[in-house]
Amino acid sequence: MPIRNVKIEYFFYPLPILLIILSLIFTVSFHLYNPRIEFLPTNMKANDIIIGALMVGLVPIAYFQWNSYNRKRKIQRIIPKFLDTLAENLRGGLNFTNALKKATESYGTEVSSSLRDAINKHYLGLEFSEAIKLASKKINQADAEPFLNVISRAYYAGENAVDAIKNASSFYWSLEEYRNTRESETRVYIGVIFISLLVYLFVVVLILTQLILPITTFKPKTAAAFSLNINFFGNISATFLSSVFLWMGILESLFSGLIIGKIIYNNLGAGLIYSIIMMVITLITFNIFS
Amino acid sequence: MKVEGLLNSYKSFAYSIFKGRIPEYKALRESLIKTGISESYEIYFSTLILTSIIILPPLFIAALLFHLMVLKFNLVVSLALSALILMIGEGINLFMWIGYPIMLKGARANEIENRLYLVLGYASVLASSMDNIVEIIHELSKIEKSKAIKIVLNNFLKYLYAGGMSVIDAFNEAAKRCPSDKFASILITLASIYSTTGNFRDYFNIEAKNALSVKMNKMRRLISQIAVMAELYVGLVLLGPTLFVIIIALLSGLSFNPLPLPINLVLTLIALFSVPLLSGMFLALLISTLGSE
Repeated sequence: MPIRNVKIEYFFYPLPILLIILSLIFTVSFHLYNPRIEFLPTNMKANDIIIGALMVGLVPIAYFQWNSYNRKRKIQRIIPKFLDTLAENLRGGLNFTNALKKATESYGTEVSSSLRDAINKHYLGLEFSEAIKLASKKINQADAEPFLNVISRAYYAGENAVDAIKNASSFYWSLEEYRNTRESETRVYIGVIFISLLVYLFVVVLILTQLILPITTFKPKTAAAFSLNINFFGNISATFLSSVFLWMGILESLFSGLIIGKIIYNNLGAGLIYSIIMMVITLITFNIFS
Repeated sequence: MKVEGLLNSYKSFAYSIFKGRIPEYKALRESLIKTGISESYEIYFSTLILTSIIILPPLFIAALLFHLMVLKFNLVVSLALSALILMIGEGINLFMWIGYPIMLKGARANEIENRLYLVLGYASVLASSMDNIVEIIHELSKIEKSKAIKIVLNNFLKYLYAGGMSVIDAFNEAAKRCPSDKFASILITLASIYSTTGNFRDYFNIEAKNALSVKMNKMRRLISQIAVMAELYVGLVLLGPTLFVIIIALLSGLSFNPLPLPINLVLTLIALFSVPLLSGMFLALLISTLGSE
């Protein structure tokens, strides 16, 4: 299942671009957007359709990236606990395979099920190291490989097994402490980045409603008397400026999510979910105030 | 094969001309050895000089013809501009030859040092179940995902198995070709442990703990740096382009256009390119500061 997931993910990468192209064709053919006259769509419906298509295209990628990150963290979190349980079972007098089997019963994760499968294959006659290699291939996760290698090595270490596993567990606990500290200390930046987007939206809405809209609709009496067409922003309309700010907001949302992913999870893809949330906030704000 | 032969003949020709007249740049010599780009500094530098000379006439003639015939400038201006293009071209050429190995060495050293805590941790775990250091290195090279670390570990195995060196010599040789000074010193220590106590487990344990505590301290420092970066992000990426758009829009009302492009197009370009460009730069800064796990 996880291997299949990884392969499916690649098919979704071109989806946002494909959907944007389709939405452009749709808006052009329904006269919502005319690229010959306007550089950016000034009709809010056209913007909604194009941005909606981008978000729909990003959803499956964000889903797979978030799932992949969660799966990785789940495996990382379980490893030190699993090793501790295994060491205790060995100390309790069980032989290695029984101790391992008992440890797998304590944790209901894919690591446990793959290891149980490996133990069964070993009981059926497969060499332990080969059975573990198969489990490693089945899990197909970078962090699981060294962990399974440790188990395989400990099996052949004889009386040193407990020592080897305890040593491994202490290393994995230190790694977990590092990762948890990093995540908890950087989590505050989710708020910082969300607030900065809200500040942007507040400033833009204020400029659009209190500066640009009054100025573009303002007609001095003398100018009206002489039929003069005075425009404070030249050829730029309020709807065009609103569209410029909307697209800037959407792109900022996209990149802000990626920045959250890098700072907190050290994984750009994991931040895509925040990108989509911020894009929705931006789109709703512009739909309300435009 | 034919191309390789031609390249070798070219290098050999360059070396025959410039040998004995090659200036000494320690950083470049070291980078070439540590990145594995070229085994010989002298051959590399001779090729660099010959290539730099060879590209001069065609580049100058092409630039001159372009200015005279396409842009229709007069001879003096064309000569001056062609000379400028020549200098830029030569600068880019030299940067590629000299800068690339030095930059590659720095990037690989960074990559190794970012993952050192993991490598040493796995080594300490492996050392508690096996005594043979060669087997440990072999296992590490199989597990390791970082290309830079894999190259160093595979170099050790190559010197040992294919080169016929002793374990100590292989460690020392791998250390000489290791881009990271920290990792090189660990390899040298491993060579001395091999010839003395042979207790790799304790050494890896201590080094892994040290590397992790260094990583933890670095992370704490980085978190305080990110606070500054966040301010930069809000100012530069979020509010900077907004102000720019408003200023250009207001100026356009006064019939002032700072660029030879329609104002609508300028604003569209700012909206669609300034944010991705600035955010991309900010992300690159973050990636280089935080590294990857």
